[in-house]
Amino acid sequence: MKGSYARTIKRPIVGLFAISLGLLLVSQAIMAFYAWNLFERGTLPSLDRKAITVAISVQAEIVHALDIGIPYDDLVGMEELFSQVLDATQGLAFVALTSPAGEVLHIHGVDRKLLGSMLIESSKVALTRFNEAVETDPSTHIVRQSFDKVPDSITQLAFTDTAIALAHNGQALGVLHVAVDQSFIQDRISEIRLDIGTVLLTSILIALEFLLFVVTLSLLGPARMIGSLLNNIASGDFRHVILAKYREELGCVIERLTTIVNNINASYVEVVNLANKARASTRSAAVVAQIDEILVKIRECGSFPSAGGVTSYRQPRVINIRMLTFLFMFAELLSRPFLPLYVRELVTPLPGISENILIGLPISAFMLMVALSMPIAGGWAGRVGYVKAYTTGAILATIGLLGTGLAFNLWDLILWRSLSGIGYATMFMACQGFTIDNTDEQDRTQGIASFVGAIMLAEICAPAIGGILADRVGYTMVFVFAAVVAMSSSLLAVRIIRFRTSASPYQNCRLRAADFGQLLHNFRFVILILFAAIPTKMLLTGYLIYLVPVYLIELGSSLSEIGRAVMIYGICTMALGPLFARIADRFHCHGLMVGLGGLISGAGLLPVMLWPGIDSVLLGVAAIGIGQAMSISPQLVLVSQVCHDLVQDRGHAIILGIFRLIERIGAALGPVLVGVLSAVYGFAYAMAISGAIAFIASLIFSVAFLALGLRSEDDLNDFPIMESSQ
Amino acid sequence: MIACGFRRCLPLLAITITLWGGLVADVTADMSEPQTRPLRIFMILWRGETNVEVGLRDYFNSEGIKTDLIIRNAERDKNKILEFIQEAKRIKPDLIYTWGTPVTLGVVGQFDAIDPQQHITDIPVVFAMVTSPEGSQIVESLASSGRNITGVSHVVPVETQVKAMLAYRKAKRIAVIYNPMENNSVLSVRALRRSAEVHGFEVIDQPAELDESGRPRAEDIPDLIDKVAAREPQFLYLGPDSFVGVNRKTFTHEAKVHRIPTFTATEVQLRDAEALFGLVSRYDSVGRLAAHKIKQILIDKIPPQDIPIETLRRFSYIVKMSIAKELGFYPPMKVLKYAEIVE
Repeated sequence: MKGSYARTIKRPIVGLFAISLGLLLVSQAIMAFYAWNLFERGTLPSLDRKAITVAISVQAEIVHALDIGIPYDDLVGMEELFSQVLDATQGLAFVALTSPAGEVLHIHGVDRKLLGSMLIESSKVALTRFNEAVETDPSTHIVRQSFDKVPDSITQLAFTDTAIALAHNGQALGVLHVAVDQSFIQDRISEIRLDIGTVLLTSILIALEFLLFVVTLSLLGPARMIGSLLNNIASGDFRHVILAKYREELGCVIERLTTIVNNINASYVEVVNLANKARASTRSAAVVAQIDEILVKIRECGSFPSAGGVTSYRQPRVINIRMLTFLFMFAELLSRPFLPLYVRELVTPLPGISENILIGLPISAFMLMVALSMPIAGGWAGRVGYVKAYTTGAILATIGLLGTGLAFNLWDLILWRSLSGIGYATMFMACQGFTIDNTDEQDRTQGIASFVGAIMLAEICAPAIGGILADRVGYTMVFVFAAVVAMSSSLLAVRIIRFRTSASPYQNCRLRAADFGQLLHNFRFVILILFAAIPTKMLLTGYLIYLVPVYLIELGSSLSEIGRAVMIYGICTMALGPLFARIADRFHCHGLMVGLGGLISGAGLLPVMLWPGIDSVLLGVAAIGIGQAMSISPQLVLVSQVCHDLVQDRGHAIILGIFRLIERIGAALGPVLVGVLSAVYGFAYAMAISGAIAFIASLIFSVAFLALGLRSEDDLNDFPIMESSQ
Repeated sequence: MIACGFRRCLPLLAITITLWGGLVADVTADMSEPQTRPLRIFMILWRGETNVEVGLRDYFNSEGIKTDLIIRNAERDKNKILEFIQEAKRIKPDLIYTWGTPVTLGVVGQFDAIDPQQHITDIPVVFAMVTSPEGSQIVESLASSGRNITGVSHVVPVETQVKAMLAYRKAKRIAVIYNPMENNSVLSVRALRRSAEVHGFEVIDQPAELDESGRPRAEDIPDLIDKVAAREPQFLYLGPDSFVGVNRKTFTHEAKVHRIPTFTATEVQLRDAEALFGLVSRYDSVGRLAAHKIKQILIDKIPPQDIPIETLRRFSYIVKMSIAKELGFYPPMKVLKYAEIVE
């Protein structure tokens, strides 16, 4: 019986979600289709027109040379002319002049040997068309022929040939060929498709997130509370009411129900008072016994509030935090695909220090400030309240992001990033503290999952959107947009967190130097942090945040592509994280998971050394995503296992806090380390070397833990597992 | 669209054929007072009227400036210049225009040896066709003469000339024949060597031999060309050298016989000899620029020492097609985009 009311409400809500999702999909699909059509109508034919324009303009130049008396066979600098044309026009594969028979005389763009007999046919057709032509307009003599990639051919050429006869004084001397690169078109097509797909996916994810937020906040949440209240009333429990204010119908219902409960309670109190008065006024023991019997009967009818009065149901507050968490993560992660590229624009050379190392500094500064300010921000948020903490953090982040976007040079950029780091850490701790405070033993896991889910969602959406935006409006505007998001999240925080909760024990504990000392004497803890936690975090900051953007841009990727590449990480952790966590819990193989995760992350970065290219980078991102998904949660379980005594003595939060702090300081070193590596060995090798370091570290970790074993594995109790990355 | 792209590339080249882009826009014109009487300009020429004077008149006509031009021709005789100076002092024109280095030096003297009796000091002077105003010590600095003169040079910077040569063909060796007694020539050969280091070619440097009176002999020219030809240069560079200029026909013809393409810095080598190609200042352009400076002095009332001495900013790349045909040595497609082709 319990919960059936909520279930009745849930069904239409699921329907609402389905309909909204359907509508979103349809409208987004139509938008995507429309965008695709615009592209097809615009870009593709314009490339064909370009080829014709190029052909006619080159033809005119050759005719001019013939006009002034240069013999056809003595034309000089044709290749140079063709190369100028290719440089000036994107998307062309080659320009060539062939004899009437189709033999290549001059060419630039590809090796003539690769073409073989490919141009013979179009040359012949172009000549025939010229000879039969009545009109003098050269564009009417154009011949087009497409060559697709032949799978087993060594040439791997795919192009559309635009052929036009080259004639002088009415006599055809040769044929001019301008080839549009099919792979260029294919690349553009797939890029636009991926862009559209990314926008589709992320916009639906974000829309659903908002829908969930609104529905839970204004419908599902109160409905659940009404359900519980009705159930309580039905079972005669009048100790609870709903004090939160809601508007419209639900508000009326809640108000009425509260009035009913209050009336019943008031009547109960009145009856008890009357009974007590009657009891006091009589001396007859029989009457007293009768009255007592009546009172007992009444009390049996239901549970009534004691002297403390009625208690209110707890509102479903965690959903508010989910939205706030999503927003601040989103604001920060928007710049992930291009941050090092942006830094590079601001770096002025310093004698003796490589540019690559300087680029790492602002990223490291951010990480370091996050690491250092989290312990302080956590305690502070508990003291001043989460709304104040969150809004303060949001304001700091807003200023930091704006400053980042408008920075003058590397040094003020480092300052702005540090400020952003403090803001980020404050918001993070406010959200985390709030989640723990507003959940109890039963729903804490769910609350944490919701918090982590918001982070994952931002990891997926923000880099993809940031990349696409940066491609179109530039870095600065993306930072401004991020600042706007951060600012509006602070306004939202003021509106939706309307209650103050008592500080939780998680926030109350302070880190002590003695704790560090004790932990660092724990051999297993040191191995865990040195060979598992720090290396994986360094890979995350060094590889994903620094190397991937700079290397991909060097390979010619667009910012949108980089955004999508970085998004893979979010997808992997979101899809696989919960799965691996369950597997690890079920089979008690936390150590194995951590070791394996590290090995996979490290190994995934090695192929780029042998096969430098985009695919290897994507493989690396996926490997890090999978590796992180495997190791994040089990790592935390391991911490409590290896520091079992200390955890019992000082509490989870302290030990976890220290673990996080050391790990994050390691993360801050990542960008500088890969900066040094890339300055010496180049980006691809820096990737592979950092992968190798992580691999070896994980190997040491695995061997050490196999040899040492864990301590008292059986008496573990579950405790919250926080956050995914960062 | 593509064509636009090409056109946009052209200004990037140091050398283009546009004639008048180089002139400074005349922003002060509207502020000047209306002209009440024709400008009296006393023109002392070295060898009669040339295209420079055509450009000069053309500029005055198109600007609607009335002039009263008094023309004197020295007929390559330095003695006549002295007579003209006396005449100018007598009739007191608004301005004196001089053509060429000898005339200009005669009229204004070297900047460190001015004799007010002999030279003009109180009448503004605008000179044209002076190869090297600094080298010939007419002025100390091109930025300002520091005295009552300004003018126009017609020489294309050597580095620009080298780039023009190399645009035609890559070269390993470039030969130059010159009169070692001519200061201008020595300076330009030195500049050529500097460019050679930048562009990685070798300069085959052949000074003319001098007779007892210290002059090079015209009859040595075939020998000089023979010597140079033996080292197989890709180009023979004909600089702004009087000895080469006077004997241009012999030089260019002998080079052609040896199948050495000749590059020249002066237009006359193409118009009146057999040079293959060159990067030159058009005489009429030089005249227009000189006329513009005259206007600045007489109408806009800018003191001559405030007007810098300039050369053109844009030059003409001229290819003589008849010679290219004879040598079978044709200009590349790239050069055809901006070159002026003459027969």
